[in-house]
Amino acid sequence: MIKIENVSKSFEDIKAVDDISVEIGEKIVFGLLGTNGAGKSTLLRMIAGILKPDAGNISVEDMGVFDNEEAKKNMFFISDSPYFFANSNPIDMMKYLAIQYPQFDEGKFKEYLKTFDLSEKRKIGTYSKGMKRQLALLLGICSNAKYLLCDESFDGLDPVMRQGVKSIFAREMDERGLTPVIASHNLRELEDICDHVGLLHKGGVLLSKDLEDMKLNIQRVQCVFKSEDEEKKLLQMVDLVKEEKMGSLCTYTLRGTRGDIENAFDSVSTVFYETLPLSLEEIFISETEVVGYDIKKLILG
Amino acid sequence: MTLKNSFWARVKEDYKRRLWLWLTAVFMFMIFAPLLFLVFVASIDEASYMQIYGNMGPDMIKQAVTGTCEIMLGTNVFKLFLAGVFAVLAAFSGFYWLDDKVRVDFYASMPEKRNSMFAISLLGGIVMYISTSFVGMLLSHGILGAFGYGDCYPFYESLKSTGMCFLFFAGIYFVCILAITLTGNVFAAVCAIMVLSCYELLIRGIIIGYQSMQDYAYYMDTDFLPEFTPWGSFLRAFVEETYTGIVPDVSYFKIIVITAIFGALAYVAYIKRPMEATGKTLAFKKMSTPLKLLLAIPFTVLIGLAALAVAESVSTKYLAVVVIVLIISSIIIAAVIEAIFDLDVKSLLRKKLHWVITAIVAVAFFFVLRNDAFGTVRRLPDVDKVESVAVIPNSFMDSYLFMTEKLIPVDAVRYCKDNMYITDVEPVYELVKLSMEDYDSFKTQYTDTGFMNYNRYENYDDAVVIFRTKSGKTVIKNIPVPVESERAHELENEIFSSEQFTNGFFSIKNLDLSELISDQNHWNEFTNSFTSLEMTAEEMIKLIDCYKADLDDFDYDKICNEPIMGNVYYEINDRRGVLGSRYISSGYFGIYPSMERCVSYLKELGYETPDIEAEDINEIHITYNEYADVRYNTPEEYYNSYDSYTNEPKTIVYGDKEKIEKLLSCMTISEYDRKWGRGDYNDPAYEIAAQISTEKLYSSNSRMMMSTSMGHTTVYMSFTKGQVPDFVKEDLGIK
Repeated sequence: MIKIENVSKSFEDIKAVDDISVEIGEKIVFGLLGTNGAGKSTLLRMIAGILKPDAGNISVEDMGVFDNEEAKKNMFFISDSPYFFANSNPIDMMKYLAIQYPQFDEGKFKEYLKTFDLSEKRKIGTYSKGMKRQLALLLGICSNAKYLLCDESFDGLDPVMRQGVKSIFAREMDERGLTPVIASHNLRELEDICDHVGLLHKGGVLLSKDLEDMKLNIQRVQCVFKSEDEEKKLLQMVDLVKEEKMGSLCTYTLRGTRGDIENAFDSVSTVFYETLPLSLEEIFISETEVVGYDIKKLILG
Repeated sequence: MTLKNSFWARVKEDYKRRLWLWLTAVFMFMIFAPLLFLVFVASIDEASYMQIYGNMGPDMIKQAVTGTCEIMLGTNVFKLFLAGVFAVLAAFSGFYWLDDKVRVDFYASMPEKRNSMFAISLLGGIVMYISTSFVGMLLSHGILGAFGYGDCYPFYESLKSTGMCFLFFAGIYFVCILAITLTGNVFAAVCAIMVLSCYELLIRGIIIGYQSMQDYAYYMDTDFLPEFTPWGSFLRAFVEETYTGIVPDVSYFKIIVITAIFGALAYVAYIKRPMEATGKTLAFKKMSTPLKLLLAIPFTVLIGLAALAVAESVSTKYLAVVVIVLIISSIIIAAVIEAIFDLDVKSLLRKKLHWVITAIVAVAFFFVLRNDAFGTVRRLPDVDKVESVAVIPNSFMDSYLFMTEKLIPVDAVRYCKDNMYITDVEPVYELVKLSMEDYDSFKTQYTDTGFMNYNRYENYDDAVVIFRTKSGKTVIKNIPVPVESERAHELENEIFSSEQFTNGFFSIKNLDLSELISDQNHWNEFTNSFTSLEMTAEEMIKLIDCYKADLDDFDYDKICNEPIMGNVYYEINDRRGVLGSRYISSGYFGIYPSMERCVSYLKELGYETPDIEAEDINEIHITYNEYADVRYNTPEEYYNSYDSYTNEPKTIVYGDKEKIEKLLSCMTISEYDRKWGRGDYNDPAYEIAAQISTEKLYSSNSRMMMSTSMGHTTVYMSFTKGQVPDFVKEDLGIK
């Protein structure tokens, strides 16, 4: 588990990360969402042990991260601009990383290279940007580090590749408990890959929730009440997140399981009611609006 | 632990990534020098040497090979330059990743401790340098041995030189690493290297510059050299070697300690360096303000020094001008430094508080330094804390040749610093205090600097006094000694006639030149206006022995009250010179009538004191130069003195035997003989040319110095000071 406790980091006058506390569990794909400047990269770089927090503590498997060789063996950081040695090929990089990560699986790496059609001997400098990201991800996966810290690594990957990486993640999570932590400024990039999402804004955490929980615990219902009293009666029974009205047609976003909410509607007199599906975007919009933020501006651009 | 995850595996990986640096090292240290050696020794044509030099051929070949060895295998500027260049390359290749965010993210995220990363990068450069330079040295010796010149240069010397070059490499390497770790971009790193290398030089220059404007200040050339930078400590060691022929152990110790300190600083800076510093000017933000002030203030004070030197000579209200210059320059410098730190021209106008602090502190420093506010320049060490002193009367006899035992020419102060140990310090202190009191009082009489300096030259002769304290500190002062003071004369007589003074001042007394005096006798001679007595090497050696014996009875008062007889010139050769070539130098010393042994031996060699009578002289031509005689009593007279320089010299000719006889009684031979502390012995305002019949002066072992024509020889003479006959003055119309 990665434990982030009251971590802050400033760059001169700019507070990049402000008193963040998050826990990243195991065997999940953790999405770190946030706009540019929200503090995602700074947080990831602190988790990776590159930067030292000004305050607070970051531990991995109960070991402090900064300048701790043993703790860092559990992590592999892929920056938004992955670095490769000049004139190197994938095998050169593999050999170097195999020294740094004694658990590096060279056989698996060569196998993945074939799977993703990346040449072992080709100079990395001649790779496209997407291919370099693929290579960086494969190197990170094959390092056998438990936590794979990806800073915007999925942005721009084609759907086939995304699917491929997703399936590798699934296998690795299953086989050895891999926990990818993926930072992105785009919710849509994470939607299909993450289990848990932490939303950062202005250096702080707006929310950190399990996606399934979020989906199960928030519902949208359209209905027409027979009378205003019926409406008041319902609102006393539910946890209202958002309310929209068009004439007598009411649309509610409500927190709670589908069963609980339907029971509540059944107990009042309505002309009709209908439970509507919510996309992840809509869930986020609803959740962040509650805390006073307009996620459309923050994430969806 | 397997090799795979071990430290050495990482070292190996580091070498792989810096292969180009390995190749550079191999070329610079393993191929370049041995290849040149090979070309050189292979091209030696022994037959030609034998043909040209005969039996001396093998010696000459050996000399040539030794000379080349000293360049290629010894410690010299070229080798140090290569080591320095490689140190810069190694430092940047090993640590420049700190200035690149992409690489920082990669390397700093690796599961490797910072100290291990530092050690690997550091070790890479060191191993590359040591291994290639050592192998290169072995190869060079191998080549020498293979061609039969193995004995031309000792292996130990090569090894020592390799060690010295390594220390130099390490020093520069650490400075560069420290500069890179303290900064966040290459421009700032280069600036930091310059600051770390030159800051001490700047500070020393400023302090010495201001001190040089004070009375009683004296500084040696070596005082400028930095001591606490790797290159500075090296330079000091080399200066010591130049003077003494060896690098003292303490210099090695200093080099090692300073190198180690820079290494430790580089390590600490690396370990503490925040990785977010990449791209910024400074890695440690807290250093920013102090550093800006530490740069801006000295530069401002330096400009104040230049302004002071200029303004003092052009304006009487120069202090106000200098303060204005200081304030303006402090603002400009602080603003420019701000812009450089931010790499942004817009920052010129930021941090106005820095302007104010810089201006206030710079002006304060200016006044402290200019006025010697703490009295450091004029303060003398306590007499009971002084172990010994050395007194160097400037422009005094024997100053032409000061040589160390290794025959290395040095200046008088340096020589006496190392050789004169006067333990009876009381008379020296009395002379110094008397002189300072006299000079302090003298200064109060003048408001005009130019006129004061004119009178200073007329009334004082400078002595450099070196105080050595019991704690090992050396304090040097320049003391203007009053030439008219009777008490000063008594003290001079006491000090300069002491054995400790003569042992420490007359360098020839300590040198054994018996094997070095040149056989070419045209340079070994005793000369004066009348004669030139040539001597063989053997005769010269014997005369020098007489001179040394006479110095044992040296009496300064006697010397001051008698005219010089002439000077002895000698030439020395030394085959231990640079590149094995002959080192040739020459020296001279004055002979006075009281030097009985010298005079006696010169007579033995045939020297005869000229006995000129009025009948021997056809005419005496006396020329009077007003400018050398006139004394100015007011600043106005002094500043309007141009006339005395442009006035035509007055000349008068005497043929009358009666007057010639009177003139002869007042004349001496014309030899430069300024008696320190007592001024000139001869009157510099009068030039006397006596036309003497040739027959009188020729003898078997002396020859006339001057050209002969029309049956006479012109000999130049002088009046003894204060002995100019009244009729001469009257005839020349001198008031």
